[in-house]
Amino acid sequence: MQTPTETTALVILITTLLILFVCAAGVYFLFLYQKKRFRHQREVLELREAFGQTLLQSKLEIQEQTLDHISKELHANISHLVSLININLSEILPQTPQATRENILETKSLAKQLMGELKALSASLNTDHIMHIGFAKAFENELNRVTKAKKYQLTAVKNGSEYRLPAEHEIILYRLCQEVLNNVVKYSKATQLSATIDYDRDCFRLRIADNGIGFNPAEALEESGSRKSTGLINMRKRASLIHAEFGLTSQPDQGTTVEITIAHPKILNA
Amino acid sequence: MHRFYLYQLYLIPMLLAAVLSLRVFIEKWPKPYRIFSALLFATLVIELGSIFWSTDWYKMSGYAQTNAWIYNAGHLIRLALLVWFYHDMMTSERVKKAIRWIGALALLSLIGIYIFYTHTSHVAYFLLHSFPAILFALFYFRQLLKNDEVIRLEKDPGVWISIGVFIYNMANLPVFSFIDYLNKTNLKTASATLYYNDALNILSYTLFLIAFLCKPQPKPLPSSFSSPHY
Repeated sequence: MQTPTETTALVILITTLLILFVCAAGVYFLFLYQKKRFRHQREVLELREAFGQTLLQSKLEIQEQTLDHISKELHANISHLVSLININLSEILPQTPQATRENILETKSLAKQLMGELKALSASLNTDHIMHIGFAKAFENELNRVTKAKKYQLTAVKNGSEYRLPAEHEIILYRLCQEVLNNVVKYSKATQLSATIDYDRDCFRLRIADNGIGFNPAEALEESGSRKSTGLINMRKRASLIHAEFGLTSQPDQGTTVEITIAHPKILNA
Repeated sequence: MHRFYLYQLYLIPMLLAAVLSLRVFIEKWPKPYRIFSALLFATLVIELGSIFWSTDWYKMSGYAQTNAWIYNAGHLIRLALLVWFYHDMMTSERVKKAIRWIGALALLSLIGIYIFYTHTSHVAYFLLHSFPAILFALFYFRQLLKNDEVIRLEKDPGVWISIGVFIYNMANLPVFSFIDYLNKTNLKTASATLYYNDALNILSYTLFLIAFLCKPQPKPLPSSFSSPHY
């Protein structure tokens, strides 16, 4: 027979055990619920990321189509018109008095120069052309186009044996380089420009460096919102599309270096 | 003597937790964790003080051997620090206000009881300490569940601290509620509850120890800048 005190002690013990069990269950369900929420949030983030990637890809496709169209227009129509101007000038040249002949010759030379520029621009915009000649050649052409004005002292280095990447990767890579070179021309005030491509089979590495005025990348990223400039963010996003790492190092008065790295690239030709 | 050492076993995780909590000052953790570290040190000082008092110091002072007055004062200090800790942990102004009110009410009641029952152990001390502690821990869990930012619970020090506080106070509630009655009617059972309390102490301080092995998680970046860091 149990005494009332023993019964009380037993009741306390059972209550305590019950409470302990309820506490443990509560904590367990808290963890379980939070785990579910965490998984759900990750899925939402992944979906958002995938949506962003698709949107970016569509944007790039539209951009490529537009550039392609402009390139073909430049090549077919405007180049044709410049050729006509040249032919007309050649026709009127013999009937022209000696005094104005020199002006016509000068205009002919300018038209020829314009023709060359248009062809180069058209080639740099034409996706099919870039796909045909490959990234290395297209990049070399772009470098030559940028340094044609003899504003920059160019150093171009190619290490390893050249290989081709998938066409869409090469196009994105080429557009990225165009944007980087465009930034060099627009903002850097550089006198020296260097481009290095490492064709390593485990890692493709492209490095573009200048000795210009440089900038503070963190500040530029922060200010990009207020200036509605999305260049840096866009470049990073574009790089992510081809699973490339986009590195940018810059300091005021110490130039800028951009490094695009593709680890384990998909190599087309052996 | 053997029994004495067995009772003091909980001092090991308590000491370890207190020492490890020092990293909050070195690594400049948010303020609430520094408050909790102070709470751990205060508890350690109270425990050691009460042990030394009942073994040696009371002889020097000429007062009674009972160390209840130290534990009772300890309830006051620990509750004040716990209120401060949870007040700073909360993000909702309404919950902060509730904590302020509950804390103030419990602390004033504890002061009142301390004036009348300085040298005796009283059930009100435990209840006035345990109820707010349980409520605050529940407030923290509610905040976690309502928060838009989902964090990894197992990596959050606040979660481990709150689990420790919650389990210790909840599981001790039935024993504490009847401790006065047991002391009067069945001293053997009342003494046996000390082992149970020690076990819970070891459990809660181990949980605090885990808390200080974690690190407060930074806020996740907007998805446009990077992929989730989890």
